[in-house]
Amino acid sequence: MSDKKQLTYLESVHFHGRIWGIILAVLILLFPVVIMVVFNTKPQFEPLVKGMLATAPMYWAVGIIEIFTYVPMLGAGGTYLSFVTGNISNLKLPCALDAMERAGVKASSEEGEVISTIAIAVSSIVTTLIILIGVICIVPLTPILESPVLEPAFNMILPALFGGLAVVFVSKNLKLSIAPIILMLVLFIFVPALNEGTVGIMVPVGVVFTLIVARIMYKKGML
Amino acid sequence: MKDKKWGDIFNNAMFLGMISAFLGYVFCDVGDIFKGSTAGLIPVCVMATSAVIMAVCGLISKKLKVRWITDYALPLSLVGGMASAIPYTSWLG
Repeated sequence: MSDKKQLTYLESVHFHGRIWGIILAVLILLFPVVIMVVFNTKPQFEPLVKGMLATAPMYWAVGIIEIFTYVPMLGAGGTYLSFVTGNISNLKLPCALDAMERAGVKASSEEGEVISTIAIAVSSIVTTLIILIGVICIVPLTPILESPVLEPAFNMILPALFGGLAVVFVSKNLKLSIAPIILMLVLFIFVPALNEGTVGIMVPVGVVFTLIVARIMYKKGML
Repeated sequence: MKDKKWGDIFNNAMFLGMISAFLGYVFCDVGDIFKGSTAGLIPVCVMATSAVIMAVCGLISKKLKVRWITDYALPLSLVGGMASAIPYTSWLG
């Protein structure tokens, strides 16, 4: 008879999620090592440390904030999958949001946890298959993908994606959406440093600001 | 969360906070209009087109009782919005 403890769904998600997370971290860190070995080269220590110190702390901060921002939206299983496969804000989160919306479940519920995980898993599989097809067909597809006619369409994925999503969520929470949208419009229009590269940093800012506004409006009976 | 209503508002607030950041980003080059460039309006027009397609899908689903269209509303608005970028770019770019 086996003494192995039967894991619950969530325990199993955390167990396997941590294993895959560690494997991914090792694989990512192995990449520069493999490059060094294959090309028989190594970086100079001083510029490497200087460069790391200039850039890494920002990514540590963003990484930590992203965890706290995305976990309540994606659930445990969805979070592990998203952080292993990447493209959270432009692929995984919209997929999870739309799937939960279609299924009529809340992100914080057990049903939401399952739906979000399935949506992100399907999104990851589809993305991987499309990348596979893309790699195999890269030669015949290159003229199409680099076509000057289609280039504007590929540059506008995020506005097209969030235009549709905004209609769904703003129409359902009209009063609550006014303050964060005005804040972000003012910031992005009048602060030149804010652009496509910094939008990821502004997501946690938007979330925290909206939560504060929501709490105040809720306490005042406005929601 | 003990307070169910606040729990729902909390979830919606998180999603709205995230979406508002991306809506703001869409407008980040609008200020270029004062420098004589209208290219910053392209993402705004694309977003508006995508939003209109999503709204039309919602209306069709509600008024004509065509429920299946809601399953395809997001892909339709995404592809429609991206496709609209081509004429907008030749017009404003």
